[in-house]
Amino acid sequence: MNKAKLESQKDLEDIFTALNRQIYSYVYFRTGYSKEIAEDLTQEVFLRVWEKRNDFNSKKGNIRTWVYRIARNLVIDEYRKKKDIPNFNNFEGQSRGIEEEMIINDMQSFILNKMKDLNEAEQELISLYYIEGLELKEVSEIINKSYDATKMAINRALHKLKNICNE
Amino acid sequence: MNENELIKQLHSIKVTPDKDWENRTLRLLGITVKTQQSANNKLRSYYFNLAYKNIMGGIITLIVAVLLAGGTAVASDAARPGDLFYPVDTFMEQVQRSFTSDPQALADLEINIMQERVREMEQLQTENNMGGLENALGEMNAQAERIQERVEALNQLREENKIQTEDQQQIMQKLQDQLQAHLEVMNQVQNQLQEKTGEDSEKAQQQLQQVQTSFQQGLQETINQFQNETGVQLEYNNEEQQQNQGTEDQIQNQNQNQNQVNPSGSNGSSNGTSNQNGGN
Repeated sequence: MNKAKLESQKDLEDIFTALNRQIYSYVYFRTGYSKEIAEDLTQEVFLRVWEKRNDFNSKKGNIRTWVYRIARNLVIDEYRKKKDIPNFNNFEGQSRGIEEEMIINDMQSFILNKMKDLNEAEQELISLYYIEGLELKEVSEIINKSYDATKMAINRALHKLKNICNE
Repeated sequence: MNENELIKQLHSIKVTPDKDWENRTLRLLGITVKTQQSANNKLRSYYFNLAYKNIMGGIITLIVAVLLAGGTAVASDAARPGDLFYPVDTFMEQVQRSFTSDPQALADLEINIMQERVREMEQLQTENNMGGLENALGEMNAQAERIQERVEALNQLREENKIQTEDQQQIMQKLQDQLQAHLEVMNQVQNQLQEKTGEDSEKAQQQLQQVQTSFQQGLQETINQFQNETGVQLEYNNEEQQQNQGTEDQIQNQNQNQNQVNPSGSNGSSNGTSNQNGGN
């Protein structure tokens, strides 16, 4: 996905096809694992992508990090609107998630429940780096921190999650 | 649990959206892009003509300003395809679209604009202006597509529970009422064209037939689809119902004449076109 410009319907469709699952996953984990909110917000992300297409500058970063930043801002707006951390669905004791599209084993449902004890920034780092599999450099661009600071923050978040899981 | 095990588990958590949602969103994005591009092209084309042809730029700007200020819309509104002020007319419609963000109001606006297109077609035929009539029919086809796009957008919003079925029902009822009236007018125009001779007249007849088909197969199917999906049966008032039946009979007779088809049991509104109308 190396678009330099976003000009046509085809460009937008290509971007949607390439990134919608990652963005959906990111929004899903950041908004209380709600399918409805994730669907609405992800749709909104790609409408914003089209609205703001002239703002994209390939010299400042790749299209994936740009789309993620739009998603991130929308999620933050959503938090502001609701003035509360979303009410997380509970995965405990389920081999299959509440959402039909999410197939998880017992261990993963245990981890997802423990993730709720991390703060928002830590949850975001775990989601971006480990679940969606972005590169460290991309994560640092999305959260607007230096490479080294991001690396340290990710390590800390993982370490904290491991400790919570082992409590 | 050690870190490696934790990382492995995190890597294998996958959440994917519904395929249906993906398809719906792709459609929505397509509609958004098309709508915006269509609006931009119209404006671009208008400004291009204004700049390069240099046709009384100041006067047109003044008229636009007067119209924007709520003054009389007679000069441009009465214009027909091919008239000097016609671009002003379509530009004003574009301005109205730009200022209308509510999807239902937008659909309503497009239906009203269609009424204007039909009026233009009727006048041009009366004046025997075949060149203008051809342009008008092209505009009608384009307008029918716009209405379809708007209705698709409403369908999408309804499916996502962002608007109520009742809200869309009002629009669909209006569309159905007007569609029948438009078909009636087109039928009259078609009859009058048949009485004329000449290449232009035949061409206009063929084009009109295409528009009729696009109305019946495009817009009418859109209405039927709404009725099927929601279970709502749109109403016909008695007067219109009579008109509709008359229209259907006339169209059917016309099609029989033109295509030299001899269907068995051609019993008015109980078959053919009336089925497309969703019965009732």
